[in-house]
Amino acid sequence: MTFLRCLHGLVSLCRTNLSIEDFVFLDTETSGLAGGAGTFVFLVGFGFWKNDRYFLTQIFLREPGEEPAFLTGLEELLTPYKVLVTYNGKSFDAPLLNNRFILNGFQSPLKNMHHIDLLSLTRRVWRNRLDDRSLGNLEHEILNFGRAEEEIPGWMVPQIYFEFLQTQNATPLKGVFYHNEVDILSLSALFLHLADLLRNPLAARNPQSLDLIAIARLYEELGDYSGAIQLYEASLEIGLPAHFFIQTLYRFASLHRRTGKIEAALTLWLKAVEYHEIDACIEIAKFYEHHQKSCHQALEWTELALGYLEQSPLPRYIKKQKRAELEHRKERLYQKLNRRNNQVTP
Amino acid sequence: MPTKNFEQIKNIVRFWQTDPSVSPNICGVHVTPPNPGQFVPLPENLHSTFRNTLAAEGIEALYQHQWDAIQIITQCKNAIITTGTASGKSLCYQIPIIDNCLKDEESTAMLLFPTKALTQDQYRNFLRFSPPSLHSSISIYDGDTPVSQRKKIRQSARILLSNPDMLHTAILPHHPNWEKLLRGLRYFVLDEVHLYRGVFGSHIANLIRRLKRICRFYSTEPVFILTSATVANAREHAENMIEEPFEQISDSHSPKGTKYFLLYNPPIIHEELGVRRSALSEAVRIGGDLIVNGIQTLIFTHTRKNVELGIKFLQSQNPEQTQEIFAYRSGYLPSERRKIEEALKFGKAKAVVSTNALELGVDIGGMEAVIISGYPGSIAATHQQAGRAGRKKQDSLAVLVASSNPLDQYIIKHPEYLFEKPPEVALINPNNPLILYQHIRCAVFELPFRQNDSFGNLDWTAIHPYLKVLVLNREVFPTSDRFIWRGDQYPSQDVSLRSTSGDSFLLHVEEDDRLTTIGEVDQASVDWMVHPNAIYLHQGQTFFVEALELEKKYVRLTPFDGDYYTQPLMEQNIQIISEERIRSIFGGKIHFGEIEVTRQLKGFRKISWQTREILATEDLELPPRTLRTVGYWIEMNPQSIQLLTNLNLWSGKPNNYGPNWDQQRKLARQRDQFTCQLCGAAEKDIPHHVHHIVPFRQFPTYELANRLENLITLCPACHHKAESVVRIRSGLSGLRYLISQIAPLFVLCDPGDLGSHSDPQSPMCEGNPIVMIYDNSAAGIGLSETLFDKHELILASALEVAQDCSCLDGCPSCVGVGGENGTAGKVETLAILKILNGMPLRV
Ligand SMILES: [Zn+2]
Ligand SMILES: [Zn+2]
Ligand SMILES: [Zn+2]
Repeated sequence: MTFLRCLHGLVSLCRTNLSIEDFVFLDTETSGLAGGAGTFVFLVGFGFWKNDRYFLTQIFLREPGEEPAFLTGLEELLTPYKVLVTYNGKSFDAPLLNNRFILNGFQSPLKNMHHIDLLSLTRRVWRNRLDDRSLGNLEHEILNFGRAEEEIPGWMVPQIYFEFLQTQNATPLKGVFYHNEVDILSLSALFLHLADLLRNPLAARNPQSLDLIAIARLYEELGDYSGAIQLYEASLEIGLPAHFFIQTLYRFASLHRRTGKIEAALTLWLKAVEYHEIDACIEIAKFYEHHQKSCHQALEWTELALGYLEQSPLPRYIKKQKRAELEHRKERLYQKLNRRNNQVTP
Repeated sequence: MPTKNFEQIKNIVRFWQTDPSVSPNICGVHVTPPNPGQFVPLPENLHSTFRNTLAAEGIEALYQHQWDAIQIITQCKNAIITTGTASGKSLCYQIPIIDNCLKDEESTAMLLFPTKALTQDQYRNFLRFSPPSLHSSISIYDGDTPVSQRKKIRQSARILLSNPDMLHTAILPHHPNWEKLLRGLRYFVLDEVHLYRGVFGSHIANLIRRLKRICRFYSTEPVFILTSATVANAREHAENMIEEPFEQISDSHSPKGTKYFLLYNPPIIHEELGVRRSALSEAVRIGGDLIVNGIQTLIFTHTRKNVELGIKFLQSQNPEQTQEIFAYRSGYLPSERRKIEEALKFGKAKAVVSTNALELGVDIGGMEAVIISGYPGSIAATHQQAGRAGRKKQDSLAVLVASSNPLDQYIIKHPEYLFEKPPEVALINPNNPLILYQHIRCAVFELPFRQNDSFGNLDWTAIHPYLKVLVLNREVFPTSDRFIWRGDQYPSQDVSLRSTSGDSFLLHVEEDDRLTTIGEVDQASVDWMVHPNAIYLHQGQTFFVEALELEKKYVRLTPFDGDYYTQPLMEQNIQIISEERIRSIFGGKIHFGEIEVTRQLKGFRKISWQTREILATEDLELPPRTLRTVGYWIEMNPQSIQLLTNLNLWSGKPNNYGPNWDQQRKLARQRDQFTCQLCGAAEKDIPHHVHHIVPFRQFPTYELANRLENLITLCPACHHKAESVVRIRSGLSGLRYLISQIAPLFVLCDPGDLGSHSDPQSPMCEGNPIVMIYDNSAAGIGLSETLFDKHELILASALEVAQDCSCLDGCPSCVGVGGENGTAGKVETLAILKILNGMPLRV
């Protein structure tokens, strides 16, 4: 999974011998469309750190005929860096730049760099909380800053550029340069924020339980179970909306079961049963059947599940399917019970 | 597969020739003698691994024509292959492509197929014939390719199977993503190019111009390999499309058994009216004889509805074999179609009823017998469908069952039309300004234009004006040395190669709160196939249409076990929106302008499965479908009509049945006890029709025509049948037929690209007679305006065609045909043409 690789890159940032000076933060402005052979880049902005100071450079294509020179300049600027950081660059900026290099008969320098696209990471971390995960909205919701009046919306950018080509009046381009500059600034800030958050989510000033469960899932995927457990516990303590609460009970329980703490899992399932959760009943039935060897108890929980199923608002075909499963389980448990009874009384 | 009695086909033909219920209906037997075939060993220099793979698949020799084709292709010459169905056309390009990919690691190939089904079929063949080392480089790239696999395919495919629409919207506009494939492009295959004619073909020709332009950028010059079904001008068609010289491979040397081609005319079931049994029921009846004898049979029919009716009849006729009888048509899910193709190939299907969806080259193995229910409308399609019969050296059978349609009746009585005339020509016009404009627009996006660039065989002076228009439209920007794209849309997105656009509607069947998708219906057919309360048929099962969700584009069905099916009632209307040009001609005026064609579903009929009678007619309120387009129309002036009427050469006026008609009609219905005298259906809420046995026009007075002895009560459906037998065509409709036949030659389009209309008393022209030809696509692409400009040429040539045609009273090549017992009105058409050409009328 490419995402995991970039997550590793990010989490291990402070542990590896990569330094912050190996990263370059890049954003482009283009002639319009989302890609394709006829779309070109006319402005590239770079942010980078050198000697503990932050720098921002922009290069501009003042005439489409000068594209080879523009790309050569771009290549030179990129040479010192090992890691490229973008927002949505995997599907937008990078392929577009690669196209331009190919169309001008060059090898693309991007192919030799690591590429961290913060969009995929952002999606995972704020999956439960933010529907709009555009960079602009993240600035507002997460980084708490806004843009000045000079800001022009992204969709106007191509129009302004073509007007400049026609009139050679560069004044309206100011807004475009500003837009690009702020994009890079918030990209860099977001990067630092994410690095902090993932390193120690509970250290945040006002930890959001919805974010914590999202990060817990990331930790789980990375195999950091104790980290995940800590976050699940913290989020249940802070409190969660009903839907996420149930979801978290199940996730947390299944993590416990996988790590052999079946009793801890049981406590969570029992909590879920308070909400008439059918799957929780089934898990408990399994627990009694396999761990406690108590078919009687297992049967009771299966019956309870069947009862809840009748009242549930699920679609008919799913109910049908679940009912069949539960009936099958019940049948099997009865047989098991009978066999056992027969053995006991000869 | 079970070995077959070699004599079986011959026996059944003999049996029919002596069977009293069949033999009188056989109007002709055309026998093609067997051909032992001509074999040559595989080319010497094939890659050794490849040779082994071929041997493992049982290919150790080639037919002579395959060998010839491979020689031409490997000498880097373009080839068009037109050998018939089952002649191994695909191997002609598969061998050089695979061999080349094995010998040269950089070399690649792209193949475009017209349908997804064909692409899948070819993909399996490529895997079969190529060594495993090559398998990961062979890929399909079409609308169904999962997004997650696309990137890998773009980077690694060396043999890419796709379709024209993908090349147009996904590959060319994003060609840098395909750098590897394009840099190595050695072979380019375009399959079934006979489909690419008219407007569609002109689009494809421009798509090829765009492709070649991109290939030049990557320094490649692929060899083009085209395949085609029979058309009269295959090589010329290929050269027009690719703009390069071609060699044609047309002689097939694959072995064949004897082929029997029977012409079958259904028996007359009502002597007085001359009405014949329906083609479909006769096709099912003789199909039954074949199925009983274990002969695998494919029945072709025109419409999707007929496919479903056919399978129902066939299944109820052969109840023990229901599981081995299938229907096949567009609208089924790909998986279901695939299942039927397999069942055919491996002999599990004994009979399949299909539309022309199976006419194309999907590999279903050879059929033992093919029944064509109703003339498919062209010589080429007839041969293509009949060509599905023939399995290696076994004898095979094809039967054309005529419908009561006048054209069918003509063909069945003039078999030479089918067997001696060349098939239809394929015409394209890549330089049609509107089509060219759209593709230059797409081409700018793909690579900027620079001064003195060319586009296909057009030089800078020809394309520069188009670029200037694009600059004015602010879609293209001229820099100091080039024209670049500046629009905020992908130009290929609003250029549809095919005239049939729009998404299809999914068909959901509802059971237990859950929807299962059973198929789809294309946008154009939604109204009449799945209107609310319609009965929809699928593999012989019936469903009731609960809801047609026009916005969400789906149809909700529930299983249905009622005893009727439905028939839509459509209405078409043409209106002039604005008249742009008008000019006086001999005998009238010609016009050019914007028109609107409105089609609306007014209601539907419920028809009983058992008796075929109309149980009820219901109204519907659905939004009309409109086509805004352009048209050219000829208006005749009253003086011309007066002249024709005086000479008794004008039958355009509608019949006035005289003052006693209402009374006679009531008497006739009473006499016939309000029952259809053909099918026996009783009259329900709407009165039955009353029909003149001998047409009204053939009597000197209305009293004679309206005598009760000459009247008969018929239900609307039976009346339609009876009318087609005695149809007397007016000179005006003959003119419309003739002009729509020859107009494509003047604008290089396909007959289907034009619509036509005639009206002896048109409200559009103050009640004067008109013949109208219009562009059959939204907004049009300028065909009718060219026709307006070439009016004199067209009319002169129309007169020449009608005069020179040796037929007595009309034929499909001149003014068309009348009913079996009617007339085609050729004399009248000739008279009209003389007036419009400014020639004196001599009688
Ligand atoms: Zn009837
Ligand atoms: Zn009639
Ligand atoms: Zn003729």
